[in-house]
Amino acid sequence: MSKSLADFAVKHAIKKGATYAEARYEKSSGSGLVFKNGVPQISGFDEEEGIGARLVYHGAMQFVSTDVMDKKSVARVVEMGVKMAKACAHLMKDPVELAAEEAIEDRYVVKEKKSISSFDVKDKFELMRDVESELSDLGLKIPARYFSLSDAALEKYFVNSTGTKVDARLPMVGFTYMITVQNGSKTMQKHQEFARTSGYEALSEWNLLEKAAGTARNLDLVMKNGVRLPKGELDLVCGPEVVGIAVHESVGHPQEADRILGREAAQAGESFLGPDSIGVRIGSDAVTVMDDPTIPHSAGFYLYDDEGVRARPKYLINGGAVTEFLQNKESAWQMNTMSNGSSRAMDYSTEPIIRMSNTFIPPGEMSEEELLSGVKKGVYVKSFMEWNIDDKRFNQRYVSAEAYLVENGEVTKPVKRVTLETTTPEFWGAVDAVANNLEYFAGTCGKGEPMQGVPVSMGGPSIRLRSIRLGD
Amino acid sequence: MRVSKEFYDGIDYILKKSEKEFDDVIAHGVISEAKQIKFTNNAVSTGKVWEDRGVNLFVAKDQKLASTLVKELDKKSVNAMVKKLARFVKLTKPNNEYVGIDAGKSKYKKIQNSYDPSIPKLNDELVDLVEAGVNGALSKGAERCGGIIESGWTKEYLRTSAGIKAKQKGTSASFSIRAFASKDASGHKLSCARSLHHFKPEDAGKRAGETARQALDPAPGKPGKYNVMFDPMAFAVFLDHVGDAASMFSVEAGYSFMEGRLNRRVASDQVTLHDDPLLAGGMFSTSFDAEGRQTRRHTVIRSGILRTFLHNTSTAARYNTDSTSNAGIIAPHAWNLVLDTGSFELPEMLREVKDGLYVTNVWYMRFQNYKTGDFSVIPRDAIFKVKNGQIEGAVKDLRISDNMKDIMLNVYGVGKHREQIHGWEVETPVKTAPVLVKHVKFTKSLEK
Repeated sequence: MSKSLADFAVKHAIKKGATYAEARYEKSSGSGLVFKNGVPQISGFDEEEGIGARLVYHGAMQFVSTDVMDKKSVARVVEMGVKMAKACAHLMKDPVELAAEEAIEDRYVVKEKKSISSFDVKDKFELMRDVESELSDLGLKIPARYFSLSDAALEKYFVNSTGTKVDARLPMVGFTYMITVQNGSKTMQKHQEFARTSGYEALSEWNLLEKAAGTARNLDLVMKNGVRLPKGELDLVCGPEVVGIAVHESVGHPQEADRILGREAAQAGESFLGPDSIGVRIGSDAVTVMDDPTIPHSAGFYLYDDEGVRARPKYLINGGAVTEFLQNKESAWQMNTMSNGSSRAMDYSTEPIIRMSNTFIPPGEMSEEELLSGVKKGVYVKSFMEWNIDDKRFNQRYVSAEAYLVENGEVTKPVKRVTLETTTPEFWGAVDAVANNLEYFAGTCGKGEPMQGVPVSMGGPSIRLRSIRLGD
Repeated sequence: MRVSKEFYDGIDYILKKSEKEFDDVIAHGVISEAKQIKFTNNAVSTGKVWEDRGVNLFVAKDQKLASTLVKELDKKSVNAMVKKLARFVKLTKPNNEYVGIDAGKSKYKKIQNSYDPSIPKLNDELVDLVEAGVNGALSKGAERCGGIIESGWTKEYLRTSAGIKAKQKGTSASFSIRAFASKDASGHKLSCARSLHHFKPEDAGKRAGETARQALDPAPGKPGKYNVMFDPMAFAVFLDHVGDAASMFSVEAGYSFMEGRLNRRVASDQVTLHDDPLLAGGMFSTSFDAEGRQTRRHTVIRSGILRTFLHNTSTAARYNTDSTSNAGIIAPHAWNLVLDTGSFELPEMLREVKDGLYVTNVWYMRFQNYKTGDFSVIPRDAIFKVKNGQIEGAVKDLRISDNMKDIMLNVYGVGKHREQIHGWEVETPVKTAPVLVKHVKFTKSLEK
């Protein structure tokens, strides 16, 4: 019945005069649990389903959604969409056109080794208690501990009026912690997200206990033994977490074609790049950046996007030059190219827009040790807490959580508060080497209006930047 | 979407069935419908229509807490859901911080200007309002603009096992426009209201266009400490974070720079900040909180002194005080933050800045440490240079890298005229005038 409602939405839109229609049926069954300072706060489960549909009517694009699962409601919102499209007609500049894509019929399922349904409430409480115990056993002062665990089994069905039908089943588990470590009168904090498109076998990948405890121990050491950064230009080694955020913010976002075309101007912003920036150099020869939704079990995994387009790996930067923007069908038409399957919606009630998936620097040849050995005097920034970037994605700032001096190729003392405030070309232009220790970090990327948070991952191996100015 | 009798009957039935299984029950039903038009480069890019219906069900048994969303309201589905929830709760562990939900008698106050029957009927008029906003911006010198207009209505029905039976309905309309006079010269303005009478998209468009035009040809900004006049859109971002930091949940979870400061100074004496759930036309105004308790206005900061944190029944019990009617079942939160006005007109404020900056908007605020209040945020859109109390051109590419405690302690003046701000960067509605802050630290990208 539910999938047939999506079919009905498409047929009804076409019947009402739409030249194109697509619909998504999504059903999500999930649960969550929150702990604060060792106390279980609340747990729960939800089952949500709904229909989201887009239609093009006389050149106007409309998105409609409902969670009332009957034909009458679906017909009603589709007709409201048509009515609004008619109203919008006189304020349209160019009719919306979508790049043509092949019709696809397919189904894909991500299998769970340790299924979400088999990991019951008791297991979840036990996991939270284990993380809590691991931290308390450190003997450090950790006055605030916030943990959140969530899972969901998502069923998706996409259908459009040009013959595409895609069914998918995607399990997803996620964990977030935020810890405050105190040493004397000083405190440091760290927020960390974990997400995986899989069952609870994710836990063995994440090493939550080890990671949380390691972070707490290292923050304590930074407070206790951290030295101030020497003045002047230094070589900088960014660890995979820092590479991940830099790749996401200053390569992935500015290469979203909808930003480049101005569609997100009032919300997520625009881009320092223009439609004609393909081939423009923004980094050194050593810099290659990819976005790849097809990485199995990744946080941003999918095989077909929310416009029914087959996903594929994309080189955003190759050898320092811009090679390909992230495109959906609408931006692709405007830029005279094809969609590369980058259209995602947070859920059935939100319109699909251009998003990243898993954005990263592919591994290089040398080990992290070899990379570090080439640094006489520098700093290794392992993780960050504060960051931001301007809405053209040009001026960015990352402030370290964990950082260490590098002296004659060796990581030595912890360093307090390393601030990197730089421009996109300055940062990527200074990269001279890329290691092979690729790691991904999960995040929730926000964009759109209403705000849509979608799971992504970001990462890379450690990279080395020569002669960087650091500090506020 | 029609709100049927079945919806209300369904919620009554959820309560009736759940009360047999649990100590405490809250069933909060919400039906809503919204329309949005997104515009890009002066033209419509997408229209959107949403409808949504559901009942948030919270239950507690022996201090074991759980929640779920109930979508199907027929008796058979409700019976099955309550059984499933009872099985689930048995497997959970108790939250020994939980003391129950408010059982007091409630007499709900009607919110003024919170429902306008003409808003749910808007359709073609939304496009006209977009056009008026865009033309307003273009008439003042913008060359292009983008943004959204949104309208909607909500109906709520809340029942609790403590005998609460509460209903309310509301409408809202919001308009967000960012105007560009060039790639580097922009202005962003909002209009948000609960009734059409107070909804002014054309005015927002004109002000955004004017700001963009004035910001043409910005020079590179210089890092340093400046006296700053913050427009309401910019200062609202800071006040939104003050509201978050005032929640007792934030304090306990490590997200507050006001921990341990009750009845102590957290801001300059120019700052008096209220949380006002009964604010006429307030975007989040509500007669009752998530426990069904009747809401009332609280002064969070009076003349710079922190007078209260925001509490629900359980957090209040832990600190030997009363709920401030800010539930959130787990995390109390502000409803509408209102900063008392000061005496300054805009030209006087610029004279008070003397030599400094006028920041019209900020975005992407991130903390290095929520407890210490260290953060940075990016002035987006026009930053004006103020010299001898006059605007003397625009600057660009600066970042505010400062501390929330210092920002609030360094407030040295508040304007006379308030605006309501609610949107992308300001999740809790804030009503504020422009605000003067001294010695604000600005940084910029370091290049070779």
